[in-house]
Amino acid sequence: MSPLGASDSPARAPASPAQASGGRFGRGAEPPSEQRLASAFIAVALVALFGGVVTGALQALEHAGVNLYPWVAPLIKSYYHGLSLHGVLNVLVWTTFFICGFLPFIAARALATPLASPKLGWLTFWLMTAGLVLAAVPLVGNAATVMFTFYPPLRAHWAFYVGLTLVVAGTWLVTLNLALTWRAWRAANPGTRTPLAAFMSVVTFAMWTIASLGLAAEMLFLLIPWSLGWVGGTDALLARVLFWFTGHPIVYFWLLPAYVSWYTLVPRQAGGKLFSDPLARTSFILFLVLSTPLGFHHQYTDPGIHEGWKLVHAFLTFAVFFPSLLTFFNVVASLESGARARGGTGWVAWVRRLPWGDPSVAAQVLAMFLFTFGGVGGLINASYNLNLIVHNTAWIPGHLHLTVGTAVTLSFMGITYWLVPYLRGRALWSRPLALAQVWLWFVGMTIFSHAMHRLGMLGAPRRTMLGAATYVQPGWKLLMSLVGIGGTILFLSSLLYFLNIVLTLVASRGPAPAVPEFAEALSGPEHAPAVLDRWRPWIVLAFVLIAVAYGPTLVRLAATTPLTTPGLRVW
Amino acid sequence: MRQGTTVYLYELAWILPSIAIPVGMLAALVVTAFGANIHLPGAAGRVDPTKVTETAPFDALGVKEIAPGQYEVRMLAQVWSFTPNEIRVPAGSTVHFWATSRDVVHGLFIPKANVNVMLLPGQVAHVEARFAKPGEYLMICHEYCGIAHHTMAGKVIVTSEGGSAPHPNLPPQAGAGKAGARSAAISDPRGRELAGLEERK
Ligand code: HEM
Ligand SMILES: [Cu+2]
Ligand SMILES: [Cu+2]
Repeated sequence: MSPLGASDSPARAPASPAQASGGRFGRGAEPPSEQRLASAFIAVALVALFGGVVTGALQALEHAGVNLYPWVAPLIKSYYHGLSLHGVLNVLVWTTFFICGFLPFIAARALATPLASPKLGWLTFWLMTAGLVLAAVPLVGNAATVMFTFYPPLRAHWAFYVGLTLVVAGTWLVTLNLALTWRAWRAANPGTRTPLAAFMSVVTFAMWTIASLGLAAEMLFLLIPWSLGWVGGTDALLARVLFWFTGHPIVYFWLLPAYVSWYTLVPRQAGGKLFSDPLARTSFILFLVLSTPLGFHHQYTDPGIHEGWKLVHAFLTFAVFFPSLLTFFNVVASLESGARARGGTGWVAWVRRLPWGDPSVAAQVLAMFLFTFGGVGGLINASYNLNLIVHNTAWIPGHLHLTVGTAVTLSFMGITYWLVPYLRGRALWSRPLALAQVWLWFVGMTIFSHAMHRLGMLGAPRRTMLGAATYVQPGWKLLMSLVGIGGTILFLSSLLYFLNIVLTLVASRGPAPAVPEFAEALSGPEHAPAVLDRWRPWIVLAFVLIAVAYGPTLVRLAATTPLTTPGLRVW
Repeated sequence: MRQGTTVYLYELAWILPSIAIPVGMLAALVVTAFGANIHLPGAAGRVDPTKVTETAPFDALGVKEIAPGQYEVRMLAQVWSFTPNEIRVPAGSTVHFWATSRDVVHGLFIPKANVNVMLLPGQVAHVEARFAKPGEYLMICHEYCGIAHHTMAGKVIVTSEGGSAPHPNLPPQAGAGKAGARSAAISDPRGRELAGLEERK
C-alpha cells in the first residue's frame, strides 16, 4: 500500500499484557492497521518534502545569481510557479500529512487503545490524498501559481481550491477519530488522567478544527463559487481576513506536534524526565484558547481594518507568547534533567552531556535551539510598529524557515529517524549519515536564515525573483550569495536525509529499534488541576474570544462588502 | 513531597517572568508606537475596483502640493507598475499617499521612509510619510502580483531645493486644494461615494 508498508516486518505481535497494563508498551503494540495508516500518511508527507526542498534549492540559487529555471522549464515554468509549489508542498502537504500520521499513532499508543475506527482512518487518508491529487493537477500544471496563500483576485483553477478544501475536511475526520478514541478510552478508564501525549494530540486537533473554520468559509463562500464562475466577483480584504483567521493558528497546528515529541518523548530519549506535566497541560490549553483570535497581526498593513482591532490582536499575540515561554522553560528543564542524570554539570555546560550521538535527539535539540531565534523574530513581527520594517520583506521567509522550516521540519525529521525504521521493521540505514544531515541542516539554516533576515532589514521584498529584479541594491549582493550558499547546504542535507530514508526502506538489514517510551514526569499529572481535563469550558472560551476579536470586523465586512472584484491570471 | 515542592517553586519562578516578559514588551511597544505617533493603515473607505479610474480620488492621479510642505499622492497600482511611478518632492515634505490597486493585490513599500502598506483592490489605503533627506527612495511592490512582479518598482526623488517639480509625464494639476475636508469625507467604510476629493479635481 505504501513504501513504508510494514507487512514484511519480523515482529508484529500484539502487546503482551504486561506491556499494555503499564500504559507504555514496546514495539509492535498497536494493531498493524494503525502502523500502516501512519506509514501511508508519512509516505505522502515525505514525497511532498522532496518536492519542497528541490524547489527551495532553485530559489536560493536564483538569489545567488544561478538561474536554473531555464533547465527545469518543462516541469517548472517560472520562479513563481516553483515558489507556489514550494509553499504548498512544504507547509500545506508535508506538515499536514505528517501530523495526520504521527499524532493518531502516538495518541493511540499513549492511550493503549486502538484507534476508534481504522476504517474512518483509511477513508480520511484516501479523502485527503484525493484532495491532494486534485489540487496538485493545476498546481503542477501552472494553473495555480498563486502562492500557498492564494490571495484573490489572483484566480487559480477551481480544482486547486476544491482539492485543498478536501484536505482540510480530511483533517476534521482525524479530529473525529481522535475524539471517538478518547471517548472509548475514557469509558474504560473513568477517573484517570488522560495520558499527556494523547491529551496533547486531542488538543492540537481540536484547536486546528476551530481554527480551520476561517479557511473553510473562505473556500466555500468566496473562492470555490467564484473560480467555478457561479458568482462574478470576490473581495480581496474579506478573503484575507478569513485566510488569516486560519493562517496564524495553522502555525500552531504545525508546531504543537513537534511539542508533543519535545514534551513526551525527547526528555526520556535524553535520559531524563519531563519537568512538569501540569505546566505542559496548561500551555496546551492556552494554545487551544488563544491561537486563533489574533490573525490581524498578519494584516497590520492591510487597509480596511480599524487600527483599534489591530491593537487588540497585538495584545492577544503577546498573550500567546506566555504558553510559548512555559514550553521553553519546561522543555529545557527536562533536557537538563537528562543531561545531569548523564553526569552533566554547570549552568550551560550540561548541554554537552546530552546524547548527541542519537540523531533523533540531536535533530530535535538543534531544532529547539534555532527556534529560540525564531521566537524572538516572531515577537518583532508581532510588534505592531516594528512590523512596518519587516512586513513582506525577505525577513519573513528568513523567520519562517527557523520556525516551520526548522523547529517543525527538523523535529519531524528527528522523529522519522526512529519512526520510519520502526514502521519498516528495520534499523536506520546509517546513524553517522543522519548525524551529518542534522548538523548540515543546522549550519545551512543558520547561514540561510541570517542572510534572509538581513536582506529584509535592507528592504529586499519577499516572494520576488531577486536575481532578476530591476532594483537590487549594492548592499544586497553579498547576502543574496549567502542565501545561495546556505540553501545549497540545506539541499545537500535534504539529499542525505532522503538517501538514508530510502536505504532504510530498501537496503537496511539490522533489527528495528523500539519506539521511544513516554517520559515520566518530575511533577506528574496528579498535580494538574482537574479542570484541565475538561474540554467544553476551554472550547467555549476559545469561541468567545474569537467572537470578541473577530466578530465586529467580520460582521461589518460580510454585511457591507460587494463581491465585485473580477479574477485574473497574471502569470 | 520534597521533590514536588521544589518543582512547584521552579514552576512559579518561571511562570512569573513568563507573564512579565510579554507584558513588559507590550507596554514598551504601546509607548513607542503611540509616543512616536506611528500609525497603521486603518479603514479609509472602499472603492469599486471595476470603476476605480472614474472614482475620486483616483480619477486624477499624481502629485500635488496641498499646503506648504504637504504633498498628496494619488496612486494606482496595476500589473506591473505604479502610477505615478516617479514622485518628486522637496526635502522635508510630508507626503500623504492615497492608493489602491486596479487589479490584483500589490504592496507599497518604501523602506527608507518606513512606508509599508498593502494595496488591495476595493480598499483605499492611506499612509503618511516624511521625507527628511534628499535622495532617491526606492518604492517597491512587495506582494507577489504575477509573472513580472520583480520589475514593479518606482522611486520617490527628494530634491534638496524647495518647490515641487511634478513628473513631466503626469498631467498638470491645477488648484491648491483644501486639505481640511479630505480625510473626513473619504473615510466612509461602507463603500458609498468617495465624494470628498471631487471638488479638487
Ligand atoms: C532545501 C531547503 C530549503 C531552501 C533552500 C528554501 C529556500 C527558500 C527561499 C529562497 C524562499 C524565499 C522565496 C521568496 O520569498 O522569493 C523560500 C520561501 C519559503 N519556504 Fe523555503 N526553503 C527550503 C525548505 C523549506 C522548508 C522545509 C519549509 C517548510 C516546511 C519551507 C517553507 C517556505 C515557505 C512557507 C516559504 C514562503 C513561500 C511564499 O512566500 O509563498 N522551506 N524558501
Ligand atoms: Cu501569526
Ligand atoms: Cu505588484
